[in-house]
Amino acid sequence: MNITVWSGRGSLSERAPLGFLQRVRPWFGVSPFAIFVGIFLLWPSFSVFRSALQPAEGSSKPAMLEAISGQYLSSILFSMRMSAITATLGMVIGTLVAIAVVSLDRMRGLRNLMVGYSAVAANLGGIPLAFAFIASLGMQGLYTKILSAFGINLSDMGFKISDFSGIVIVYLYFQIPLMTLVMLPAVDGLKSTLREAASNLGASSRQYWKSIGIPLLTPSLLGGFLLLFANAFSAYATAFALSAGGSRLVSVQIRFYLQGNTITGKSNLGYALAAWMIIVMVVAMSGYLGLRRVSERWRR
Amino acid sequence: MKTQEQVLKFSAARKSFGDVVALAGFDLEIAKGELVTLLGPSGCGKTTALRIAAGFEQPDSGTVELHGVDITNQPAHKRDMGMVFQNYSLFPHMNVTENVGFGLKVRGVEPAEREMLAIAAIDRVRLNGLGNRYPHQLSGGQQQRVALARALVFEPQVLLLDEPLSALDAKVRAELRDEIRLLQSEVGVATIFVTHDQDEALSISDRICIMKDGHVQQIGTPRDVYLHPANSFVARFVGAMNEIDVKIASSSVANIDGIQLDMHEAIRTGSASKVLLRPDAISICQRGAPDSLNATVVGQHFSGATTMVRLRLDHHDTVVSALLVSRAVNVVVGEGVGVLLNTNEAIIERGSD
Amino acid sequence: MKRNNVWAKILLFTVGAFYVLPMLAMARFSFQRVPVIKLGWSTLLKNWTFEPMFDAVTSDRFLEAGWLSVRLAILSVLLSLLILVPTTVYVHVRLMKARAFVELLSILPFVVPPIALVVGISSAMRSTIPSFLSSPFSLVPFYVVIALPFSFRSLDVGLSSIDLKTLVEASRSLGAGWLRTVRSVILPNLKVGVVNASFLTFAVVLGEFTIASLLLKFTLPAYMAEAQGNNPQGTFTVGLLLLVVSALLLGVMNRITRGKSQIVSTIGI
Repeated sequence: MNITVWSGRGSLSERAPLGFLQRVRPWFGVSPFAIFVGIFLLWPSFSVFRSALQPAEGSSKPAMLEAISGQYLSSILFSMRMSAITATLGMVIGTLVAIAVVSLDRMRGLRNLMVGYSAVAANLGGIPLAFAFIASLGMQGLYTKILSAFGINLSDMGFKISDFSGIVIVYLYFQIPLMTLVMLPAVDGLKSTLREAASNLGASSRQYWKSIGIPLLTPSLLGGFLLLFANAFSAYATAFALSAGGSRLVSVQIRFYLQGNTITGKSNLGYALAAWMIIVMVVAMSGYLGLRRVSERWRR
Repeated sequence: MKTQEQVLKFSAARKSFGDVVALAGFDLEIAKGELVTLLGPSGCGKTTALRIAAGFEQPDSGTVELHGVDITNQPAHKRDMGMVFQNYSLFPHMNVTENVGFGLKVRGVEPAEREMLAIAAIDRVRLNGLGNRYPHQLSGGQQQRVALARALVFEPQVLLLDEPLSALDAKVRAELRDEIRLLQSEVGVATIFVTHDQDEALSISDRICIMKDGHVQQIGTPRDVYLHPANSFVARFVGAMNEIDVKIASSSVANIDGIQLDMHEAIRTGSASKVLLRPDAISICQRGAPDSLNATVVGQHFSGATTMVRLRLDHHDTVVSALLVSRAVNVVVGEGVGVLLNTNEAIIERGSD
Repeated sequence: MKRNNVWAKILLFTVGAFYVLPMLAMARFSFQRVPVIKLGWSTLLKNWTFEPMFDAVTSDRFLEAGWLSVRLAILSVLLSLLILVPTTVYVHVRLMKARAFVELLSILPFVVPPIALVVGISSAMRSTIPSFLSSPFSLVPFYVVIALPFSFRSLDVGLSSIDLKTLVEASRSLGAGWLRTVRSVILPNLKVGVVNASFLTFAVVLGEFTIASLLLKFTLPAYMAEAQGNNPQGTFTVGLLLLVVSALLLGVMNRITRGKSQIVSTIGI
């Protein structure tokens, strides 16, 4: 016997087998939320695809196909390359930080500090972060000056904060802590008892890492990589601020197709690029979520 | 049993963690096929002793020998022992067959043979057909069986069990307990079983080693430990115990309620002491029968074959429990009866004078 | 493992330095009126001043942008809570089966980068409801959407750790009416989630640049982009302030949740 909570009269009623309508009715309770998301997220997104599938200016092909040819493709690939590099670097360094934090197990305070700051830093970004790095490593940057005092001249080395390598370094500021946060539960999950079990069964240190440690970390490593990739790929503000709007990243490039209030003729290409961005994000995020589910299952 | 081959031997093993002495001078020998239980409350040193045997801790002094060879400093992964942990410790990314086969893989056994042996071990623990499941798809009891198969498949010299049943619920615990014993004796492996549950210890051990605060209190068969506890800690820890305050009247006579009881043991006169008596050493008779104490029935707990009858001794303000065969129980709450104490079985705990 | 500990400490120190140094450089630039070229041991302690900062924060443009940002943040928080609190409570009390669906919807914003979203907004709404987009407050629902993964998660986590349905049933069976149940059983368990969701949303809105700038709304980040040319130092102090405020919001929130951190970032903003 169940107490029917929402009957409004506090009555106790037997739950008889429900008809179709009765089963569907409760779902109306989530409809305000669904409608809200539908209007302000799904409608614009569908609109992107609708426009993206229109023919591009001066061509009979849908804009989306046009977008992946020639020069437009290069900006997509540029963004993907950039994202992959920051994701890889972030993955490696972030994982090492997580391992370091867990191995310095005795120093609880240090761990809390690092985790706390990572939680903050993973969410920082945009304009202020760009400012901070311009002040550090820009042409008039503090550390540019300090390094040149030691004889290391950054601009001679071809380094500019607004260029590829500059953006990579700035992105690392939030990529590393993000990866740290992703990996900490996984590294924690390599509980010492698993190590002992493996050892007891005869595994040496190398065999442990090969058969147990690394396989257990792999889903989180890959998932983290995908998350970082998606994160970098969708970033706009930081790159915009660093390059003053001139970056070759696809996210910044789209802007040119939306000049102010008017929509120029080339705008279908803008939509196409946006549509491809969404597709890349869907693939990356699905991968991340799937891998996360696997690693969480193992840590049950 | 002395003719049995000695497999594992602890000699004067000591271990401290900082100021705390976890294990003080531990001596124990375990023979082939024998199941020895280390029993005691938390902090008594039983887990430390087990971990020293496994190689996860190094004793500060003393030795551990395997078949006469000193293995005290030998790393854990070279010791050829199988261990079962309290929280199963199955490798989550491997299925049952792979988990069980891990010890064989590490020892270089070929995949075909590995699989064959693993499946045989899995069948042995009655998990036939579950080889492709993953740990998160198994219940606690099933996971522990996998752990057992994994530890035994490569025929280790010693089997180490670290509170393997503590994380399971009662029914599963009882089942698995008996299966562990069965399996262990079939395989004939020397085994150390660590637990804080004296029921478990009594039911499956060849010998029990009771520990407290790092010191061994008694080593003996379950029968020995139950019927002839070496000291009052053991007496109270293993099995239920009644406690009755008494005055010692003369050299071997205790005075309870005006009744003189021959204690069969010389005691200092006048000391206030306690008599410890097992519930199965107390019986009920007619009120007023010779050598009996007057008491009133205050409760009965029926458990099928046996009934625990609680009796309040008149004039004594003590409640004792008598364990009786149910068929012989014929009393109601509130009834006045006589209580007979089997003083042959009594333990006297002297008071501090 | 002693050797490992040394490497671990070195690594953490290096990474920690990487985190801290840019902030220091930013602070130095903001508060010291010495151009980098002239910076040396002798000039290290000269000309530290709050003047550029005062200029910036008292300027009309800043006040206009800041006030708009704050209002947007507050409205976004309110709208978020208005939509999410009843939804999450409803799901947990009445229809747990819907939880997966609702969670999926709350994750969807991740796959739509803000830049793509703003493109879609233009396409969809500029022709159909242009008057909506002309108001700066049109940003509010979109901000709610962007913050959705975090705000939903904050509320959901709080409710998931208790069996709300059973608690409500217990309360009802003990005779409490709906209002009483809401007040005494449901709301107290929401407190932490609501605080987290609010802080996160607030931080997200304050720092959001992409949508605001492309829809030509003058928010704080847009101000920073604009004023960078006129008063770089002052603008940088504003940036620093924004970072500090965000860090505080996120830090306090992290404290409350005791490290069960929000995993995905808001960087694309």
